[in-house]
Amino acid sequence: MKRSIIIAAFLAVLVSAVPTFAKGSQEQQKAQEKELLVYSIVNEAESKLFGDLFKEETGITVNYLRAASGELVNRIIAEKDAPKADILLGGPASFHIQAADKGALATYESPVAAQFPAYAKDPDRHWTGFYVTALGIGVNEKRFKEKFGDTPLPKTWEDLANPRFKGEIVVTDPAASSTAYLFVQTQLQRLGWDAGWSYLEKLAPLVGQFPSSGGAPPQLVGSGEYSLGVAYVHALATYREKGFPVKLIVPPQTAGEVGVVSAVKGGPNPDNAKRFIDFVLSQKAQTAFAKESLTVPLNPAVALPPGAVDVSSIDLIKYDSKLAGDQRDAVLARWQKVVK
Amino acid sequence: MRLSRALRDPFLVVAYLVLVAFLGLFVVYPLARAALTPRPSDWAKLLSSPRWIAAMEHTLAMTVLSTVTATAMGYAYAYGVTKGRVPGARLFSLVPFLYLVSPPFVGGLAFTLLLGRKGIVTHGLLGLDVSIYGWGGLWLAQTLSFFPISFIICRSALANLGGALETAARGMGAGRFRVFRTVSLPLTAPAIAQAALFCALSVMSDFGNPMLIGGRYRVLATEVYTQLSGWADAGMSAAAGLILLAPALVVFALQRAATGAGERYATVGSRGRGIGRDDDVSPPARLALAAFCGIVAVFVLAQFAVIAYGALTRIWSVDGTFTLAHLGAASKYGREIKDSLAFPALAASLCAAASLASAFLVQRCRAPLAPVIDLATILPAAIPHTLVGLAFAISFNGKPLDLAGSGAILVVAMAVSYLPFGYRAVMAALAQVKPSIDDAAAALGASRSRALFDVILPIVRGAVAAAFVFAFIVGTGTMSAVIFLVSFKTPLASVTILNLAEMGSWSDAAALASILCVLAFAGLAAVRLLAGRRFFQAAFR
Amino acid sequence: MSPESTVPASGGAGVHVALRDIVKSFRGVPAVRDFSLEVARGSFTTILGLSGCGKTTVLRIVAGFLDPDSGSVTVSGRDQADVPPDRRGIGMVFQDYALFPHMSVLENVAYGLKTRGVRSAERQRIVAEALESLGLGELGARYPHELSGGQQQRVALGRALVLRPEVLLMDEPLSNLDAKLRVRVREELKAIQTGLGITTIYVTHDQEEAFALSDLIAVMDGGKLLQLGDPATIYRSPRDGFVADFVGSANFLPAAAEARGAGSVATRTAAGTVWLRAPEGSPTGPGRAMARPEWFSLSGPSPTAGPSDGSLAVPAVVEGGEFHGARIRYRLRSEAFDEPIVVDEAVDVRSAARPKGARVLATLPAGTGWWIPG
Repeated sequence: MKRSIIIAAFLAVLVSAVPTFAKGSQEQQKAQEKELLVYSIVNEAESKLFGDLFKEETGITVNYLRAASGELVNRIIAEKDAPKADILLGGPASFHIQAADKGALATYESPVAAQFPAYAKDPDRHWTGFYVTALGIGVNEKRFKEKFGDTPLPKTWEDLANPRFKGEIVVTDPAASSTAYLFVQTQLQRLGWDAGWSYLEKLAPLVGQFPSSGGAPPQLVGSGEYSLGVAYVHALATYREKGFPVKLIVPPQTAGEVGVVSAVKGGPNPDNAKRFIDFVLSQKAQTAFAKESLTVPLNPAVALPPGAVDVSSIDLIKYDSKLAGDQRDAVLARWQKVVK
Repeated sequence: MRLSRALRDPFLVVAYLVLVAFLGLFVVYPLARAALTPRPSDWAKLLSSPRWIAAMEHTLAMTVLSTVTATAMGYAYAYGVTKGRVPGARLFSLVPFLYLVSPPFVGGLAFTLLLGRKGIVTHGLLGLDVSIYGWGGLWLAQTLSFFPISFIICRSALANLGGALETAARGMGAGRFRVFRTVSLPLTAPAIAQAALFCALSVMSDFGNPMLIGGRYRVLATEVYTQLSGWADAGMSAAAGLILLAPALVVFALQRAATGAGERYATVGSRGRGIGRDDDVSPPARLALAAFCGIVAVFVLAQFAVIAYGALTRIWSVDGTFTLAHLGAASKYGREIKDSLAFPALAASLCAAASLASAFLVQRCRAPLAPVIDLATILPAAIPHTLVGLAFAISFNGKPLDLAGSGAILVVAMAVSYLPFGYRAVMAALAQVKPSIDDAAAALGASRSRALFDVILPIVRGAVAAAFVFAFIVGTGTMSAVIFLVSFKTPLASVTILNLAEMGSWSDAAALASILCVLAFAGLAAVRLLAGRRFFQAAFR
Repeated sequence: MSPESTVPASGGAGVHVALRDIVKSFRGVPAVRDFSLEVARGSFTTILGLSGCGKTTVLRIVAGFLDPDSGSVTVSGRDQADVPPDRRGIGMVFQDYALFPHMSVLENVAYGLKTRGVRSAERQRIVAEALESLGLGELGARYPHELSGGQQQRVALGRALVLRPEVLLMDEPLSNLDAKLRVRVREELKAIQTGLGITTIYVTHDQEEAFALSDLIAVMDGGKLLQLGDPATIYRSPRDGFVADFVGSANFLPAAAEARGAGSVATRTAAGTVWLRAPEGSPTGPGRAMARPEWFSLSGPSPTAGPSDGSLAVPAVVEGGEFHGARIRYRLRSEAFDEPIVVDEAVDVRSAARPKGARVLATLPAGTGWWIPG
């Protein structure tokens, strides 16, 4: 008797699972009219925001998958013969370029971007920028005061490499994270190759930890595990807004980064994809996104949200991404020697 | 078995073919494809650059250290709960299972909150400012994470000892410690070896703990993830994972050799009911064991308490006011939660069925290719789960079999990852069933497959249940096996937890993790109700 | 060539199970060699031998658990080669009973009926009857681990018998029981088998058991069939020294055959000439005279020279005596033979045993001893 109950339950579970496995059913085809599939590098909350707003405006349902930049680029490239997604949203241009080089991205020039600054548009028309952020230094004020008393907060990159701060700094691992690689390249391009390496060799032993994920330093600084960290300014700003005792410092000669959106070539819903890109660049979406993420919107018609750092007022270096890309292996190889 | 005879039992033939196809398609094929992914330049990089060499050294060091402590801890805890007869043994027994449920990420979060620089214990209680990041913290975290595996294996061995031999030894005048040293310990040696094997393999492929607590201390398992997620470099990612196969296979071979010798240790006929004497352990020793179990239990429970605290307070470690907002936010992830319970349930069923089929065909039926089936079933144990996920992502995207984006790929990846544990459990149980039982069933007119359902399965149902329970519990919290496989229609809560934590929404992450844990246990409770007490207890014996 | 048998081959319609030239090796080591046997319908045939002689292997081949390397098994003339064990219509009782631990006694006994599709009500009836007849009526709801050895054995038997199998196979089913119980169960077993008339093949190492139960005994050693015959023949006329020694105590006196008679030979021994029973056509020349302890008779020393009636009279001295209840087994030292002679004498309640050192005459009448050539 008991056995029949178990078998019945088992079958019930199996049957209810069938829809999960069904692919390409009629239902799906109908839904396609009203669907968009997004690989999202921007974080969970930001993805949801775009999704909700887009649906409100167009009635199209957004299904997003949020994962790390490298992983999503890898997926897009792997799937290029049978693309599963329509859009790659967020992350620096260098990643999108990787996918474009493999022929996995579609070209699209959105009319909304007509007024955008030149650096926000891909000459090859694969990607379009929709936000800007920059690298900065985050300080947990409480912990800093506990540990270092009245010592002034660092204002420049040089100030950061202070031997007193040993063990209290957190920087991501450049071999694992593009954020940290950007940081390393910034120092090399700012100071020149030799001086840059001197700086890094001075800083590296002071770092307490090199986590793999770019999102870690803001988190670790915010919760007080470390006093100082290198991260994107907008991420640090969000922690500050949440109520963590984080102070944000934008040192001179820092690097800016443009976050971009692109469409996958041969995706299931190409028309919806175009609409989405237009939407992301639109004033409404930009305003909402800027408010949530505290990044700087690229749509000139949108004002800077309170709490965000105005990148146009930042002293940015002229960053050569091509050089950064070409040098990658050499830089990482040297980095291994600097850091054990 | 001659073919003409075998065909008289079509169910068996079909089961055999399905099993072989399953193993070939979902174990051998993905692994082969993953092995072919790295380019020669990837291998050159891996074996020459200091970063990778350091990662390999670290992996080795952690494996040895954590395996020793996790195995010892699991054994001590199991001893306390069985022969030691510590008070509250029943409750203590549940604690390790609790630990299996938590997604690895959450364990690390809790750790930080308890033992980090601002940790409740280290900072609040002891006034220290200690960094737990690095190999020390990792060692502690891994020991705690994997002692449940050791506990499960050692406990069933200790419980099955029966007590007759120890009683005999005591009767001959041996003191308690001597009896332990010369009788109990050697008799449970095969179980210890097996526990060490599983712990070692788990440590080698552990991804969550090093991610969070490793700090500057890199290990290969995380490289599999970061190479792909940070750089989109599938080749390096696969290479890092494949390198891990080598030591895993060595550990395997060692354990096989040890178990071969362990055949001698099979206590004939004692399907022991754990009848130990009440004084197997002296009162001071019992007290020490109880204290030990207590400390461990408190620590494990503290982690859960901390997660609950994080879920219910405003801002993690900053603002402690009570709020239900995070739970509210977390409960919006209904689809993720549903998937995180349904998929492991399916995977666990698949795993239990495959374990039974494999063990039965290999051990009982001496089916053709039995050694190959045996190897293929155990092989996933040697492969880090992140590599399993990567291999599946590579192999089932496009031709010849496109499963990407479906729930099937997730279910199968999970089932394959946990197959070795279930297989071992069922094999061990089958070994205790005398061959004459099979013969008797046949003589009474039951075909092999009928005998399997009528006779064999009821006898080994405990092991099958254990396979199910283990796969389900671990499956709800798994991240490493599935992180590369989730897709639009198949989101999983564990990945969402990772994403939330990454963007700093720790409280939301903790809230979602809490919901998941509670539901997973509710699911197990439901199974217990359905399947009856005996079935369920058998899993924990 | 199958060894001689003094029982006429019950070929034709009476043969139920036939094994022909069975050969089986395990990993190159031969376990059964050229084994042939015909089992008559309704008979009780025992394969007798020491551990490792291959008897269980033969039984498992008949059951279908093993396939012979060559040779055939036929039941009622049908070749069993392609028939799996679950379709051979056999009933089997195992040494360890192999009761299903998760089923009650009732369920165990009913299992074979269940696999045959007998309906529940009918099953219950048959099983209840069977349990009743085995004296297990009250125990239907119990589980195997709650039963005594003897009870378990009967359940195992009942489980096999309810199916009314064509052939009943038993693999040392009594060896796990204590001595007195073994005898009792043995008697019950024989009664049941005779009553039901089921063809039975029984395997054991216990020669007393074999004698008590069997119509026909096949003695095996080293994988080969040594002798096939009814108990009396095997006991009185063993084919060689091994069989002789295996099935009972035996004295082997060196002798030389000189003349042949009808079913007998005249042999010369160190103690004189004696007529022995012998197989037809056995060769003359050196060999041994086999005499069981109870074939001798003892008397006081005789002054006269040896008898001339073809019997053997051996003067000897009593070296020791063992009390065996109904008889006393004396060990005698003689001048004629190096080895002591073992003689059984029935106990006379009124008189005492023969003392050590007593001089006696051990007489083996003509035509009682058995000639073993070679």
